[in-house]
Order: sequence, then structure tokens, then C-alpha cells
Amino acid sequence: MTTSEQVVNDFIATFGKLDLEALMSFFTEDAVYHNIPWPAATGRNAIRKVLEGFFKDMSMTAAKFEVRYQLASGNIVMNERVDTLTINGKKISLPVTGVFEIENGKIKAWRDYFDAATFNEAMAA
Amino acid sequence: MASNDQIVKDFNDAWARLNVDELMNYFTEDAVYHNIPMRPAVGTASIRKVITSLLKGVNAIRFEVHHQISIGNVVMNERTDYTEMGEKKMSLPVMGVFEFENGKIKAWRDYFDMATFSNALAG
Repeated sequence: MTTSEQVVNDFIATFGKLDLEALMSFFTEDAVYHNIPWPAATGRNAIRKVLEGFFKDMSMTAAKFEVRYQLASGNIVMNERVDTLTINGKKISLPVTGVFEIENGKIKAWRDYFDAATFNEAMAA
Repeated sequence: MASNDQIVKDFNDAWARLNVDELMNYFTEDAVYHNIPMRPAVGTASIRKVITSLLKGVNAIRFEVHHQISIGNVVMNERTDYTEMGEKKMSLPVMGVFEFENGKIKAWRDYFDMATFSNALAG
């Protein structure tokens, strides 16, 4: 396993704990977190707001990222996942692919590709 | 035999020639092509239909690959797919997963936002 891959594995495990402070420690100061269908969050403050939005505003009470494939080369890690999220008491499963750029053991960029309608419809169902 | 990494590169380049027969050569008989927001196409007859409909009215297609990693029988890439249809120009951010068997694509899954695609098509 590459060092970059270990960072992503640790990050995914930490996401499952919904621990905002622990998650924030993974990002570089200038990190960019982009859920591709939505605007990108640039910098730690913006990223913190997005994650707070999930955990507080959307009342996310569980998050499990199930990784089907994960490939790493140099500072890039890509994975194909099913993210099972409990939001407002509702359990939704979202097919996702993510790309992570790692710099000195921290996440400098995280881009997740998914269909926003799949997410919104699951939320509304 | 070319590496899976190279075959995906060749396949991406082949899209620019808009030739269904050429593209079909890359798939196994039982291949599955799944644009994740849509239903999967199973088998070469179904895949041919999907690709034929995707190419309909298209003047140009270009897959720009930003990152690509190949390990074992799996290749993943992050791309921007550019399509020109008449006066319309679309760009779609995509991530693709390719599973290989004996140098052919056995599964291709593309992850993207359907509304981004539909709105660009309508715009």
C-alpha cells in the first residue's frame, strides 16, 4: 500500500466516526473539496462549512464508505465506492467515485463524482 | 499485448473518430457499460445501441484525461468529455472505471451528474 493510499484509508475510517475536528486534520490549508455536481469548497474554512452542513444541517448520523476498487499511483488515489449515509433518519446509498491528491501526507484535493439527482431523490423519498 | 492502461488511452482516442464498429472492438461479448445515472447496457448488442444513440447528431467528441491509474485488471480515470452537437458545445466532468479481461473491456462504469449533461444538451 502506498503512503497516499494509507491516508485515504484513514480518512475514510475517520469519516465513519463523523468527527469533524479529526477530519479537518487531514486537509492542507489550501485544500479543495469538490462534490462535482455542487460548487467547490476551497480552503479549510469552506471545507469545514460543507462538512458541518452534512453533520449538523442535514443531521447525518452515519456514514459508511464501502470501497469496491481503490487504485493509487504517486500522490493520486482513486476509488469507486458505495457511500451509505443516514441523513435525517433516512438511509441512502450513493454510487460514487473519488479522486484524492495527497501532499506531504495531507489531502490537497478531494473530488467526488456522483449523480446529484440520485442523492436528492433518495433524500426526498 | 498492449497494457490495459494503453488500451483505455486508445479507446478514449477512438471516440474522436465517432466510429461505432471501431469502438465495439474493445468490448467482450458479455461486457457491461453502465452510465451510472442511467440503466446499464448488458452485452454487445445493447452497448452498440447506447453508443449509436450517443453518437447521433454529434460532430465531435474528445475525452481529455486528467488522471489515469491502471493496476491489475482495473483502470480508473478522471476526465472531461467534450462533445459538439450542431452549435452546442458540452463539457462533462466524468470518472470512469474499466475492468479488463484478456485485453478487452468487460465492464465500463462512468460516474457523472446527469443534470449537468441534460442541461448542457438543452442549453
